[in-house]
Amino acid sequence: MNFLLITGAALLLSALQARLPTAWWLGGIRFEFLPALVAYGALTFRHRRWVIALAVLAGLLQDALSAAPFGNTGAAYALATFAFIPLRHTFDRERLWMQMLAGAAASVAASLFACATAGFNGAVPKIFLLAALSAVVAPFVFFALDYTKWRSRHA
Amino acid sequence: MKRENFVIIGLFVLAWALLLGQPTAFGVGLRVFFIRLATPFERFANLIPVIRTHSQLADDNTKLHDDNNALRRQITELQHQRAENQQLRALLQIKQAAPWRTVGARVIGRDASNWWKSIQIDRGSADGIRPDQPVLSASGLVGKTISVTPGESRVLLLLDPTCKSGALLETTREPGIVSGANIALTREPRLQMSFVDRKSNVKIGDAIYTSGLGGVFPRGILIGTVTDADLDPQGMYQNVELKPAADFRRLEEVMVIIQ
Repeated sequence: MNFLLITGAALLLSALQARLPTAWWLGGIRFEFLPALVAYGALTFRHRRWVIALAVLAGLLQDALSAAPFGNTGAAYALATFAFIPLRHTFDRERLWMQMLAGAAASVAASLFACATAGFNGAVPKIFLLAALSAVVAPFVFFALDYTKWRSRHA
Repeated sequence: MKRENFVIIGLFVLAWALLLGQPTAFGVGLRVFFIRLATPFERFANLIPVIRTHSQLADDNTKLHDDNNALRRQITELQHQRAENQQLRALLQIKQAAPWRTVGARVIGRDASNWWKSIQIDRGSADGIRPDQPVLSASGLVGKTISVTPGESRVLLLLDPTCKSGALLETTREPGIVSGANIALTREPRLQMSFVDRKSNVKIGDAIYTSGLGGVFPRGILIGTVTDADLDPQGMYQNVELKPAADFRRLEEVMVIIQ
């Protein structure tokens, strides 16, 4: 996929993530799109270096728009992608559950890294809820990026 | 139906909710476009006598609906402007009464992560803002600046467990430290005051102000009110829970104390 397109997508999704209001009715959490983007890169890109580059880019963008220590999420996403890369040769990325699992796993990785810094006090339900939301968001992000990729090839 | 079709329908619903569910300029423009597109066909239908009566009724109905929608939109806009006006007036009163030099700023973004509590404001070092400067709303203490660029700054909210402020109970002058309650799921933003002497008489509703200790927050800024206080049977201190004075759910305009 065109690197410019994926960078644009990362910028757009990170800005959206920082702009959307907090869902207090959902326990004060915010929707996250970047874990799904990281999962997309990990299950789609052929070369490992691009997978890691995207993971780091997404993580740094998230950290830049957050009070998190800079690089924390970048490292989490980069490590999470190492787990996906062997899986993509075993499982079909087109399967919905695979996309959801990858999205959830990226979210859990970022959460664990954040908790390692901020503390685990009462964090477990939040980790599960965030993972579930990332799993739901992932197929939409996969579809949107696949469609964009297809359009850019057939333009 | 294929999975892709479900996804397309889902995306359409999502786009509708995001674009047309909000009174955005794009949503209004799209609506006007469709009205203009449909109007020639509507006029053509009016030329047919058989359906003229029905069409007149439909016209009246549509006109009333449009008028109703326009009035609703005006009411929403006026309510929004009134709320903004009240907030700005309150900020202006604080600015006039306070001995500090302040800079007003608008909130332009939230935290992109769920594990930290911060906001982004539209003023930065070009306006005299530096890291570790206190940020207030019209109601009370909001947090402190942590990273500053020429055009914008990130503010660590008092809700974050890593943001701590020296505090005093208004009634007993008992000191303590206020910080974000925890990182768990919560429906209401809450703060906690730690290191409060177990013998201190803490009452529900007591106001808590900044103590001025610590070097970041000046003395006398309202932090919140006590909602719960319980004794730890084996500890030396009381656990005090606060409701923040600032409405963190609806932060739109804030003030940074620059001097």
